[in-house]
Amino acid sequence: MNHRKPELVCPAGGLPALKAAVDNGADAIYIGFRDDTNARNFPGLNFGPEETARGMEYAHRAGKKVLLAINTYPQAHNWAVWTSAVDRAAELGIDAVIMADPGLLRYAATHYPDLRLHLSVQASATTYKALEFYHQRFGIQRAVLPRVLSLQQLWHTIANSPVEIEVFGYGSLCVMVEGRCALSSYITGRSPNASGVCSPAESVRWEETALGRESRLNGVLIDRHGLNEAAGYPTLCKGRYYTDAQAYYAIEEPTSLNILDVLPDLFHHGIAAIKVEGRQRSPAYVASVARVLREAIDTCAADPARYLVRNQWTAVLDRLSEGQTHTLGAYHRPWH
Amino acid sequence: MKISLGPIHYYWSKENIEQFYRRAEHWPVDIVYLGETVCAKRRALRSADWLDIAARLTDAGKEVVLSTLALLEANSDLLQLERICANAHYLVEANDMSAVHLLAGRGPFVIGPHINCYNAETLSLLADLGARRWVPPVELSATTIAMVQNTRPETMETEAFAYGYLPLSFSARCFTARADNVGKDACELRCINDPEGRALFTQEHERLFTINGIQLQSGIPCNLLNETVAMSEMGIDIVRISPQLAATEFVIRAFHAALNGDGGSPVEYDSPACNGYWYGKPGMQFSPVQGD
Amino acid sequence: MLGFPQKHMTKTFMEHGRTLTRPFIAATTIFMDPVFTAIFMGLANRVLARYQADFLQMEGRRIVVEVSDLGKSLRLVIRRGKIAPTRAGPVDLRIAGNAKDLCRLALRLEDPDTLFFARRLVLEGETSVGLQLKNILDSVDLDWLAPVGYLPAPLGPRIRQAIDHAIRNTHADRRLHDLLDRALQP
Repeated sequence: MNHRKPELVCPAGGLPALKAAVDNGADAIYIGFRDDTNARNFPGLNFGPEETARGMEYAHRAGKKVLLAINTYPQAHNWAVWTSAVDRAAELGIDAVIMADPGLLRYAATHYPDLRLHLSVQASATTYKALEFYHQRFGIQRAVLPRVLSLQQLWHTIANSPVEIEVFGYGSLCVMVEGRCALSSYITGRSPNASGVCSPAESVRWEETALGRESRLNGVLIDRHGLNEAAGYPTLCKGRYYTDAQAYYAIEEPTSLNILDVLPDLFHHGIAAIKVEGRQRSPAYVASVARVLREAIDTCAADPARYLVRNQWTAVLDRLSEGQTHTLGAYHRPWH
Repeated sequence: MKISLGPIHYYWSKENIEQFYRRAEHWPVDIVYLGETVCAKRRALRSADWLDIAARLTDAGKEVVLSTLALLEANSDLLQLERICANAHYLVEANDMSAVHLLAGRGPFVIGPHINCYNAETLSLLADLGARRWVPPVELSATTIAMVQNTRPETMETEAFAYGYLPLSFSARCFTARADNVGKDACELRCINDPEGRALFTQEHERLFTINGIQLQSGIPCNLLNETVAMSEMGIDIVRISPQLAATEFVIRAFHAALNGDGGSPVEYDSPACNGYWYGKPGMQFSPVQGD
Repeated sequence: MLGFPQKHMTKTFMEHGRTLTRPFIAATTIFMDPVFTAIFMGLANRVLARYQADFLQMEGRRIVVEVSDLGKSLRLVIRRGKIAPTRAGPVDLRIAGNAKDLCRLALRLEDPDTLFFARRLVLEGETSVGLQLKNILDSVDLDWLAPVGYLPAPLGPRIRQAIDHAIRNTHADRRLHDLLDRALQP
């Protein structure tokens, strides 16, 4: 069993966030190009060619890696945009590309056999058999698992996986199995798989009304928040709906994933990397989260048996969280 | 064009399932997909019961395909998948890449709607592994499907999700149990009480989604009955009807009539339906037939 | 275009106002002064010049920033790829918060999503414009080396390297950030 210290993988939506991640203890930073080839295709976000080169220089000089997400699904009319993103990544010498589309993985494996490939969470691989597929066909070296497995299921998957396993450690929580959710396109026409966005900003409207803050997505009322009620992103899965009488969080509350409680177990079972969600967040967020997780991982590595979650870590992370609260998500059986 | 009956998305009792397929023996459908695709805990029928149904449908002249689970989590899910993929009699519909891995190189198989096959390159890769039919992801537009059709491998058939509540997402969490405020481990298979799912409404009383255990479906059914001419022109080979406890026969007969020349004029719907995805719009929207 | 009320204030924001400290009032008052606003706009447009493509996408949008606890507001318009002050009228995007939070946001000491979740930041109207502005603000890279970036060889690269080393060794970036952060805590 592998007891090596897991890598801390942090998000960056721009150069200042990348620098914040490097300066605050990330081992690797994942980024995306400024187009729909990645799952955070938001206006004004992400890296152009010049920023990518500068970011890589900054990270490499500090001995850190830069990973590039090309993790959406190209279609016939835009296939060339995705292959050219892979070409650029290879030319730039990116440390690894995070991908999901089987056709595109084949393209990368065929044209750039030396390019390190990670399987994106968007590929929706939840079993070691699925991981075997991507490993045998395309030579992937690491996979990010969807946030659906319980801890026991996760340990079983790691033990049988042909590749390194990376899991989400902190950030906004997808309650659906990633890569197979069309809720957003059902309402707005754009989805993570096809357009790299969930509940896109151009479809969001907030209105402060007498009844509270109303969140609407393409006109559909997602939720209504009372004056001092903590809120979350206006994503469909975090709205309040009803089946009988009372509106409730029918799918998921606004909350964030936080795995600090089970860090020693993750070490013990040989997790290769812990990922922070949030390329859409600010440099201030990246700095705070990286600092906390760096300290937690180092504390755990020093003496896993005596590791305890510090109140201050939880306080910092909860403040940054959706709904100002956290959960262990699917790792914790009662959550299901 | 052929008509297929997709797998049952909901949890029905053994009697309901058996009666449904008894009737299906006489319906004008060419292909029937059998098996549980949503929740591994639903076991009203044993494998032997499914195989009995499969045998009877085969005798009635139907092509039987065994569908697999979309979201696999436990090792027991994998073991069950291995048994289905190893069967020697029936074609298998893969709904997850674990299934594709187990079926690759073993002979023909079907790519279900839960496999992310968004482009011709992925389709050709899957064809190389033995896929001979694909059901595009429900969010793909007619234009996108048509572009893939232009370069699809020669032996590949295309099957479009033509009628039913759209399977939009899956989760580790059970939304039916959550609606009743119980844990998934204590669910007691309560979804059997919702044979057509449970409606989820916004606070403004708009029917948004349908809860079906760990799956969320569209709030209103997708209906492409008025698109059969366009589908035929695009070279779509099969239209899929997704089973409902009631009215499935009516829907099948309507499609059968449309495909056999009685569908010249668009059908007026008396209940809400959607076809937005087909036109590259939000899935929940409805557009009348283009060119009218 | 949306016609928002001219002065929209909720009780919550008035309550926040009581905890307000002097530096924020001073900063905000200066900022709201027409002369300083003009100077600031000039500076901002120079820094933001490389984001002109983004600004052209937002052409014509009218934005109001309301400092809720001071009852003041700043009206902006995006015209020819630049930000300019404008007069009262209908707006496409309304941003509201208290002076402290808005100052901390502008200096990138605070995560906007966090303020939004905590209901301390209001965003109404064309959300995508707000998101794009936020993302641009977050991506402005304060490059300490830019002014010496074009010095000719052989000395240029060496000077650049020396400054770079000095900044890295002293963690000047982080120290400045922490200093500002402490100074602007309530």
